[in-house]
Amino acid sequence: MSLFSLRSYNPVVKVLAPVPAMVVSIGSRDLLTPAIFAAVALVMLLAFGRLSGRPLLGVLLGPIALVAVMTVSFGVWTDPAKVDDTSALFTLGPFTLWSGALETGLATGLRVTSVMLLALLAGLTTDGPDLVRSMITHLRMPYRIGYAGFAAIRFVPRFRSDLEVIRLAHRVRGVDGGRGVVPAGRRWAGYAVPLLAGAIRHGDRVSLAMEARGFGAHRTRTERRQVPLRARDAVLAAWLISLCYLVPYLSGVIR
Amino acid sequence: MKRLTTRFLMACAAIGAATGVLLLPANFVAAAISAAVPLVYAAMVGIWLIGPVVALAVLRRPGAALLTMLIAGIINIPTPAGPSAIITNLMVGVAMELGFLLTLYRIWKPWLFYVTALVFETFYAISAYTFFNIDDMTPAVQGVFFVLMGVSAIVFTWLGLVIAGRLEATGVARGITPGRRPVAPPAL
Amino acid sequence: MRALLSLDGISVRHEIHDVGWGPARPRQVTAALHAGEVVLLLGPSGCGKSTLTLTVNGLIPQVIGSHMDGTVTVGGHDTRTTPVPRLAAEVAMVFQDPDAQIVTGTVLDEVCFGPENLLRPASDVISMAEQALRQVGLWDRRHDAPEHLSGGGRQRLAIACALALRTPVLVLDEPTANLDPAGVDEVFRTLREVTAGRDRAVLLVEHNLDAAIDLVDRVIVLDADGRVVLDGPARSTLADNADKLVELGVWLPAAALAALRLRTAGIVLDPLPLTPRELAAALDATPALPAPLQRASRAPVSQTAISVRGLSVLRGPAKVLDIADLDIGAGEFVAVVGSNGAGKTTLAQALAGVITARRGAVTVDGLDPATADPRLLAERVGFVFQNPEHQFITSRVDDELAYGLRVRGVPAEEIEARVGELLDRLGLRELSAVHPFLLSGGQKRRLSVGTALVTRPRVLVLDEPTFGQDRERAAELLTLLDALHADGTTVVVVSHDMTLVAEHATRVVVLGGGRVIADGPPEEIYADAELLATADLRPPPIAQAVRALTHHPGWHGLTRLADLPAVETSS
Repeated sequence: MSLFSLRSYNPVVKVLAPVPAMVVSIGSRDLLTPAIFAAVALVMLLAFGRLSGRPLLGVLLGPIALVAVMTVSFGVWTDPAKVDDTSALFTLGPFTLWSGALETGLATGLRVTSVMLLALLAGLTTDGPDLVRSMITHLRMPYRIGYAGFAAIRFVPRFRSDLEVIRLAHRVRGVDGGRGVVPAGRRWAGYAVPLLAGAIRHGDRVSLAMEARGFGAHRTRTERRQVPLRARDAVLAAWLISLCYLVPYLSGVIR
Repeated sequence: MKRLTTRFLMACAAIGAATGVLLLPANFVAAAISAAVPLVYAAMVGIWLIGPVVALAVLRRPGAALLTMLIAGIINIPTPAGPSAIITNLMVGVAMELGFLLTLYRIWKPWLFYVTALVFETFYAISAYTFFNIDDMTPAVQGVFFVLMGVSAIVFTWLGLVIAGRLEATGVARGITPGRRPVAPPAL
Repeated sequence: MRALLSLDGISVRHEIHDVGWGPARPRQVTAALHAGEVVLLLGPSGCGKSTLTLTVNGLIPQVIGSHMDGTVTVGGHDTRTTPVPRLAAEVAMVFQDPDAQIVTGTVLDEVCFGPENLLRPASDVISMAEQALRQVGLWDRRHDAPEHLSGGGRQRLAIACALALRTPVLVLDEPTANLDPAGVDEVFRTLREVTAGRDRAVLLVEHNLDAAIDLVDRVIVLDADGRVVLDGPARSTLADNADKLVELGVWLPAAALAALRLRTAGIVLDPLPLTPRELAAALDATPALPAPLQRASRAPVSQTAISVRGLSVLRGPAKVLDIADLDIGAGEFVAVVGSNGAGKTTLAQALAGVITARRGAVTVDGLDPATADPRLLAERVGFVFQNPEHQFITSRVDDELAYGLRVRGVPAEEIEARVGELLDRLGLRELSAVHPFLLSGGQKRRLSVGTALVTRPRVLVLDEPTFGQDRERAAELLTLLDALHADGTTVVVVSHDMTLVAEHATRVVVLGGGRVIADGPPEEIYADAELLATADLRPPPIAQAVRALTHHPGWHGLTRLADLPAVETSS
C-alpha cells in the first residue's frame, strides 16, 4: 500500500508514537502549542488518512464544535479572581464573563481537541484485528490474551440482545420502583446479575470449545496474516516524537 | 502470576464485554458531559471501576482487573477512540491491581477495594487537573471536583461489590477459580 | 485392531458446593472405539453422557473441577497427563450450542483457528480448511461472518472446524439440541456425509433418535446410575431391548414407541420398526388394522380469551408481524409454529404485553396488554421466556415465586399459601431456599413457569419452553402444561418441537413472513404437504409413517401416539 496512506503504517506505532506529543500538549498552558498540535494532526489525517463520508465530516466539524463548547463551559468555571484584569464581556446578575476566562476555556478546548486528533491518527486508519495482531507480534502480548479479545468481540451483540430480553422480562414480572436516578440504578443492578451470570457461563463454554480446538497448545501459533514493521514506521515515529520539541519551539518563536 | 488458564481468560473477557454492554449508555452520557459540564463528569468517573471491581471480587485471581480492562479495550478498538483508549483502559486495570499486588493477593476484603479505588481516583483527579485546567477554577469548584470524584469512586466500588456478591451466589464462577475445593472424594 | 479411543473404568464425580462430592456419573464405564465406528451414547437424563464426552479430550479432569477415576487413552495419549490443547490433534469436539464455539469474524478464519493453534504451516492450514468447508457445503460462504449463517449453518461450521483438525476421533455432544427442524435436517445430512467414509471413530450423544438411528453402527446405553447396561450393534440392541430401554427412561425412536403401543392392542410388528419408513412398511404388511382412536371431542369454545385485530409490529422499516385477524378461545392449547424469522416470538410477546410498540388492537382476557399496568396484566396473562434465567430477580426459589404477589401487595398469609401450593405442584418444595441459578435446567424451567402461574392468570404464553432440553425434561414440562390446560387455562406455546405440537396442541397457528398462513387442528396442518414445505415444517415421525401407508387409508390423518389403538391403561 502507498507510502502516503496512514493505513499502511504499523498500528502499534500509530497508537504509541503520538503519546509523547499528547503529554506535551496536555502540559502546555498557552493557546499556540495545542493549536499547532491539533493542526498538525488534522493535516496528517486529511492528507494521508484517506477519509471519506462520516469520518471525514466528523474530523472537519467535530474539533470546531468541541473547541466552541469547551471554551464556554470551562470559561464559565474559571476563577474570576485570576482573570478580572481582562475585559468584561457581559454581566448577568452576580456573574461576569471575563475575556480572560474565555481564553482559559479556549486553551482547555484546544488541548482536549489536540489529544483527540492525535488519538484519531490511529483510530480512523487502523483495522482493529491488525492492531491486536501487531500487539502480539511487536509488543509481545501473549497471543491467548489477544484471541480472548477477538472472541469477546463476538460476545457484544449477544450480550446486547440478552440485556434487552432481561429488561423486558423484569418489566413483565412487575419490577418497577418508579422514576429517578436511584430506582433506575436499582433496576440496572437487577439486570447486571443475570446478564453477567449468563455472560460468564457463555465465556466458559467458549473457553472449553477453544481448548478443544487446540487453543494454547504451543507458545506460538500460525498467523496467516503478518502485520509488518518497516522503515516507514520508524520515520512516522521519529516525526511524531520530534513534534514534542518542534511544536513548543515553534509556538515560542511565533509568540 | 500463575498460569493463565483459558477459562480464566474467557471469564475476564465475558465480564469485560458484559460490563461494556451495561455501561454503553453511560459512555455516551459521559462523553457529552465531560465537554459541557466537567463537574458532573467528576461524579461519573467511578463507573469505569465497576468492571475491574467485579472481575477482581468474583474471580479473586491476580490479573483479573488488568485482563478485564485490556480485553474490554480490545472490544472497543473498532470505534474511532478505541485504539488509544486501550492505553487508558490498561491504566485503570493496572491501578486496580496495585492494592492487591501490594498485599500479595492475600487480602480480598472490601476495604482494600475502596482504598485502591480512592488512591487511583486521586491520581486520576491530579492528571485531570492539568488536562481540564482545574487550577484556574475557583477554590470552591476545585473542592467540589475532588469530593465528587472521591464519592464517585466509593459509590461505584460499592455497586461493583454488591453485583459481585450477588453474582457469586449464582455459582457461575465456581470452578473457574481453583484451589478452594475439598481435597479428594471418598472412595466409591 | 487397536482401539482409537479406550475408556477404562471411568467414573466422574462433580463437586457439589458446600456439600462435598456428588455420586459418580458416569460410573465405571469401560468401552473401546475403533476406526470406522459411529457409536451412539444413550441414557436417561443426568446419567453422565455429556460428562463422559468431556473426559475424551481431557477437559475432565484437567479443566473442569471434578474427580475422575479410571483412564482414558486416545491415540496412545493418557488424557490425564497430556494437555487438553495438545489432544486437539487426536480428538475433535462439537458441542451443543453453535454460538458458544465461535471465536473469529469469518467462516474461513473460524475453520483455520484449530490448525493454526496446532502450528500447521499456513499453506496446509488453508488446504485443510478448504477441504473441511467443502465437506459441509460452506466453502462458498467462507468470507461471511459466522453470525450470518442459520443455526444449522453455524453447527455445520462447528463440524467443519472439527473436521479441519483431521483427528482420528470425533465427539459430538447433542449437536442438534439447539436447532430448529430445518437445522436438524441440515446437520444430520452433513453428518451422514462426513461419516460415510467410516474412516474415523465417532462418538455421538443425541436425543433425537429418529434422526440418528440410520447413522449409527453401535449403541452404548447407560442406566440412571451411569453404568453401562447395553453395548452392541445399534439396530438389534434397540429392537431387542425396547422394553428395558423404556424402563430405564431412555427415549426410543417414535416408530418404536408406536410399535410398542400397538403391541398392547394385539398388533405385533416384528422386527421392531425404528424409522417412520420401517413402521409404514410393517403396518402395510399387516392385513387388518383397527380404526384409530377417536379424539375426545372438545367442548366448543364459548369465550374468547385472546382477540387480535390488524396487529402489526415494525422492526426498523421492516414489518415483522402483520396479523389481520386471530381469535383464541378460552381453554384452547394453541401452538404457534413457523420457520425462523416468521414472527412467532414477536406475536407471543405482543400477546403478553412484553413488547408494547405495535399497531392494531389486541385484547387478552379483556385487557389491552400494551397499555395495561404490568402488575394488573400479570393476573390475566403470564409469559414464560425462552431462557428462564433472564426473568429471575431474587436469590431464593420461594422469594422468586412470591415476588409477583409482593409487588401486588397481596397479604403475607395469602402469599405463603399460594407459594407453598406452587412449590408442591412444581416439585420444588425441597429446594425452596436454593438460589434459582443453582437449579438444574428442568427445575429452572418449572420455576419460570411457576413465576408466571403465581398470579393465577387465565392465559399462559410460553416461548420455546423445550428449547435445548432433552425429551425427558420436555415431557415433564408438558405434563405440567397439560394439567393446566385441563384446568381451563388457555395455553399458547411457540415451538419448533413438532412432536410437542402434534401430541398436545388442540390448534396450530402457522406463521410465515409475519402473517398467519394456516390455522387449524394439528391433523389438518400435517396433512397439507404444500403448507409444510412452504413453512419449513417437518411432520412428526408418526405422521410421516402413516402418510406413507398404501393399504390403510383410514390411518392417514393420524398425528399422535395417543391416536394409535391401544389398551388404555389408567395412568
